[in-house]
Amino acid sequence: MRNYIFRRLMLLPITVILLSIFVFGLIRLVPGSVIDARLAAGFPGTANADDRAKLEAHFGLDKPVHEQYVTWIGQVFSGDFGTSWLTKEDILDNFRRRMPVTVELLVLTLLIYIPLGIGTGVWSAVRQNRTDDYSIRFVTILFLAIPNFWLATLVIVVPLVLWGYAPPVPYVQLWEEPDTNLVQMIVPAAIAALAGAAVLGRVARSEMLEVLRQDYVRTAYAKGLSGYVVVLRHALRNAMIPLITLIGLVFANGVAGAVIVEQIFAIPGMGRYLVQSLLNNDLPVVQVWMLIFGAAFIMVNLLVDLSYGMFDPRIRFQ
Amino acid sequence: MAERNYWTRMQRHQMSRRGLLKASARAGVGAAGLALVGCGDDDDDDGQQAAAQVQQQQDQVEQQAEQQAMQQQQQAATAQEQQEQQEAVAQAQAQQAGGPKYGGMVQIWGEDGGLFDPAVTIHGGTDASIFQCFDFINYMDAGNEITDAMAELPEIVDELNFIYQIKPDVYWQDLPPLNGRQFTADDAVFGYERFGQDNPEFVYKDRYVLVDSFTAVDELTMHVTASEPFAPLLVAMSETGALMVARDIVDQFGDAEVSSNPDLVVGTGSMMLDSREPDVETVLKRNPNYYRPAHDGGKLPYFDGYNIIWGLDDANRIAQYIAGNLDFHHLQWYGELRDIETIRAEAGEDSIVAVPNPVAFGLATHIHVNREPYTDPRVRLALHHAVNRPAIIATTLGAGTIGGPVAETIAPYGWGIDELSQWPGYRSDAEREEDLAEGRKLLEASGYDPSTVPPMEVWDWASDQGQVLQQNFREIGYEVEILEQTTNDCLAARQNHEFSMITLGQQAAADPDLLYNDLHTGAGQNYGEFSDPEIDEMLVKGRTTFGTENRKAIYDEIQTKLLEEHAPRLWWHWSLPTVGHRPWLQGFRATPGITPTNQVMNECWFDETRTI
Repeated sequence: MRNYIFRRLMLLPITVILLSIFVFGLIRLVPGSVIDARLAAGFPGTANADDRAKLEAHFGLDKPVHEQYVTWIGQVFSGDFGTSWLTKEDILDNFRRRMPVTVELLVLTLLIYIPLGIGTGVWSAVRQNRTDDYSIRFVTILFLAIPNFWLATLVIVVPLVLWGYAPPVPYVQLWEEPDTNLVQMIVPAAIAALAGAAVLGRVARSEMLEVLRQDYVRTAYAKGLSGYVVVLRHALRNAMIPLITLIGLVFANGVAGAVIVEQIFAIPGMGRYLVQSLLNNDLPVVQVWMLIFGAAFIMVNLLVDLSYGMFDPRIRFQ
Repeated sequence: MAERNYWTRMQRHQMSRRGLLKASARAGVGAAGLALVGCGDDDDDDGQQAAAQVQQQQDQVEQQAEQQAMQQQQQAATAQEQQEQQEAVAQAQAQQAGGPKYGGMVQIWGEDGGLFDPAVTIHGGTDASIFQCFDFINYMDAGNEITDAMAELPEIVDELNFIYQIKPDVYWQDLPPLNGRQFTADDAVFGYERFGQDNPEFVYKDRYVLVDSFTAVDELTMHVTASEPFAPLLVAMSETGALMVARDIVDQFGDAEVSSNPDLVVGTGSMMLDSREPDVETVLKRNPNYYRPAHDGGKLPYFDGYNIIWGLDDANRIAQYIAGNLDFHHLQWYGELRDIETIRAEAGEDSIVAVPNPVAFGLATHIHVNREPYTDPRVRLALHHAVNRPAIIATTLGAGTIGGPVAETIAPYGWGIDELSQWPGYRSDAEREEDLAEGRKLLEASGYDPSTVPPMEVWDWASDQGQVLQQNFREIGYEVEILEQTTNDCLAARQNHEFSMITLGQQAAADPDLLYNDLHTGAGQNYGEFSDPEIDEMLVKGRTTFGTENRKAIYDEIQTKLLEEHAPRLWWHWSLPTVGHRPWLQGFRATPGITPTNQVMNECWFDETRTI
């Protein structure tokens, strides 16, 4: 297992390098540039070739692309993420400030997502073809169909119309006012979790149905074990492998969800930072953002792979 | 409060005028019809023809009446209603027992631009707080009137020389490194000269390009010398971007730091930056050493400070306002009043006071005159004739006014609906049919090749308008495809002159000299590369001639030539953005400028009905 982990970790820098090339190249295909935006904003308009050249030199865009890449990646690996083209703020400072916010949101999302998804899936399987199974299946399909940006807007509008209530603003940090912070974060986290939980619930149901039909489950019941023990200790454990894979993917879904809910609920996290940077062609921020989350996604998937052994001792890492 | 409400009054005017005009039209045409029938012979066919003619005539006149009513409604939405609104505000102030009151933190929202240097800010990038922390030499007040601020109104020595006397009681805020020292003529000189410095990130280098020198004559006197007569100079000196950064700060910390470090936001304005959490909240607090006097001999401002909440999504913003957490709503662009209507529907008519803001922001279609088929002015004029401006505004925007080359808000130079509605391309009903016929004729005469018409790029925010334009062009037989583009793409295409026809936003300045920047050969914003020696000459004359009447004559002539002979752009809409605020916020008045700045907000106060 140690060898396996070592090999996977050794592959990480190569994957990150490939990812960085991909991100760096892709982002340059996006039309429009900060140079154009700046030149266009000048009043009464001073744009000429000289101004453009100066701005390009200022942002380092006058150099060949490969040279730009080498400079950038060198800085990133030495811990210098650069400054935002738009606000001049240090990108690393921004990440330090915003990352805990998004991590909190992701943790809350997971805390809702996993119990809700697995719980409803297991319950639905155990109560197959009964009213509660049908109800759960209906609700999961409903939440799969509802886009989370619409749900988020609805969550703001409905309490407002019914009770004149609006979510508390501005955002406060968890360590400053935990209760206010939780009030601010729990609804966005729930919204980010719901669609994923619906998927997890449906997969969990089908996996559980598969397992519950196995001989060893019947044997367990025949031995006189309680339904609780049979379902949770014997059946669920064997149904967990595909669910773990799916839970690993929630990281990506959670980040995508964060981009939307942070924007709607005015949460100053990484998702919101990405949206603002994309809208303003703030390439240094977008590049680093995508690189970091790409690397984090790779790490999460490694952890998911390693966790298989916990649930199925037959799995050996070679 | 409902009685004073701007929109309810407008609604009443709209209904009564329309009703009155329709009734008059019916009565008049009916009487004419009766007379016509009565005067005719006994022939039944003739009688039926006459009746049909009368009916047709009646329909036409009714349509005209309807049109006239709509026009009057639009007019009401601009000058008259604005004046009434101001009067209502003044009346409300007068009714206040004891006048303005001190205290209260303004709850407002904004987008965190994150840039603090007025020389660097780009669209949407400016941190709104700097508009409260800095101040101006002179203010551009309501009606484009220049009023004194940190300096008295300038002494105009001659067409090239202006002397500004700085007020002796103006001080920098009591924050390091300025520590409350006096604001001097040297500071003013540095502040203005800095805009023109050779820094690639300074985007307003041409703002004072016709100024030969800014000179500090003594501690409190600044002498501005223009290199050639430049009529809009005084406007440029007081426009909303002309905020000054102190030399002490630049020397000590450098330009890059000024842009990004909120701790260096030290101005002479009424508010000081107290705290800032990026993308969350900025708190401003009252500057105790602000120079402007209050009504009772104290010092402005009346507010204790501001809580600016950054970055609320549309739904969240409306929710926060309705839930009672904001004093201000927003500036509504393009005449869209949906948010205000939503707030009224949920929270009641009296929950928000809507004040039209006389910063003209509109939409226009830029034409690249060096690209086929637009090299031929007949094609451009044909399209100009085809645009159904009132229909675009009515169907896609809901409010605003038809626009000419100079926005109506740039009084007295801009043409209002009365003048413009006489012009081909701006007319309605039967006259529009004439315009369309003329458009077809011009198009045919041009002999353009329909197979080579390039697509019309349309800003994605103006997608609906683009589609109506496409339909309008189709009416004269001109087929053009639409290519929808994002803001950045549109800006890039326009900036690089890489378009044939592009529909995009445009913002008017406070002086008709904006036409120089838009249309003079080689000027910075002449994106469509229009060039005409006669227009060039007139534009130069416009900026070097002093006296309102003289200048108006010049700009009338320029506008006439543009609309009759050149059509280098399709001007079709100017909007009056709307500021919404709580009824308990007193003293607010709209001034030219996107963000309400010191001169307005300092004179506002909360009455006792405030519940935040």
